[in-house]
Amino acid sequence: MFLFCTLVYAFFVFTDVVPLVQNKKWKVLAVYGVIFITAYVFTVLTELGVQLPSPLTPIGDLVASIVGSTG
Amino acid sequence: MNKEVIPNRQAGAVMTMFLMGSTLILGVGFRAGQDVWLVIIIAGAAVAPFLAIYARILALFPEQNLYQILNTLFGPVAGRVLSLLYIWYAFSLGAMVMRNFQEFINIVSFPETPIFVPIMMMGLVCIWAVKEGIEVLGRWSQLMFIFLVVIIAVVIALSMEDADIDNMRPVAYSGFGAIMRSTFNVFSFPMAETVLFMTVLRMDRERNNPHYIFFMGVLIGLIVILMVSVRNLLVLGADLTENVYFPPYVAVTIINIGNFLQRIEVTVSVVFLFSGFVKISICLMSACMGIDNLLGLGGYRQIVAPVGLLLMITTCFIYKNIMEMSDFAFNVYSYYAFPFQVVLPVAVWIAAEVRARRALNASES
Repeated sequence: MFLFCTLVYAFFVFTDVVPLVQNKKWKVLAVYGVIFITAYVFTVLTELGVQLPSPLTPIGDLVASIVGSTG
Repeated sequence: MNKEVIPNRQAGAVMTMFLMGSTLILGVGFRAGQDVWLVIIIAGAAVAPFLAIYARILALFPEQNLYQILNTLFGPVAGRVLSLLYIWYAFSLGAMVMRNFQEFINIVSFPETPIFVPIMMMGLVCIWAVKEGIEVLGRWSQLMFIFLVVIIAVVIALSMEDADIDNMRPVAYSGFGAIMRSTFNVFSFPMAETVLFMTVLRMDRERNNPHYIFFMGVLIGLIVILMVSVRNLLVLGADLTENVYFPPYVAVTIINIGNFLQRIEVTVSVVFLFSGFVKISICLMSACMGIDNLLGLGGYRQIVAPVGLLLMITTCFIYKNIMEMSDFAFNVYSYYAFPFQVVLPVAVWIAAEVRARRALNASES
């Protein structure tokens, strides 16, 4: 699975990043790079079995603190 | 800037398929028991004023999407903060829908398959579609919409052999409180989720009528959802509908015409696959357009791939399991979505009307 995911990410490096560098779109490249690396790190961590915290957990807690028990 | 405009009918078809999205697989309003049909009708009526508000906002600012409108109305700082909120909403909704898709695939078809495989397959197609733009999505939706409606109609007709009209009686038995709570759920999921269309559609003065798009798209979607929900109720009954995770799928598994026509539940999967694809694509497109507008990148298509990949991996850890998914969807989501679907659009609408009046007065004087 790790290899499969890496291949998918590598595919997008070739199809997207190379044209950005050739066209010297540095700002887009920076934004692209930050999001891309974040996604890849999350993918690696998930593949290594690290339990990442769900972003919806604090939202659920916030809603419960405002409207009470929602169940 | 590339102005992407699609005709009314295509936009309406996209909206209808967006509404069908995960609704047709998770089911809606089943907490009201046999009054689910009543809940869907009331929710449809309740969402109408908000659809009018969404359409009015787009009509007041032709050729602008919500992100641009927020910048125009509230200035660069507050506008960007509000844009950030909508980017998050679109992104989180996309991840939630994709997780619905993944759970469905894993539970009914491929329990041993790693969860990232169906997510990756679906996600890559969505990335491709969003890169092609709303025009391609519009044309595709207009074509596939007819196909899906035919499938749904045929399957409902075949289900009628197992239907029992007594499952709908007595009316209003679940009580006023349960009906209102379920109405609130159906209002937020899926009716008012159409708020995201404000972020992806730009209205052309000549070609587009935003009121037609919103009302026609939601009306057709509402009819489809109503028909499927009533079918589920008639075939399964209120108790069973409430106790299974994918009621439409279970309802279709029962079909057996003369021991010959059976095992046609793949049709449910096809409908969900196609409509879920549209919903995820719209969410992804909305998030990318928001980021593009927020950071001034000069085109959202350049960042579709990394945002799509981030959405796909977020899908893996957004819920721990299907119980958590179901709990969030039916107990928390309505409250979470309320500010995005009601509070902020109303605030934007008031600000837009004030600005329009001032502009009118200034031009008259």
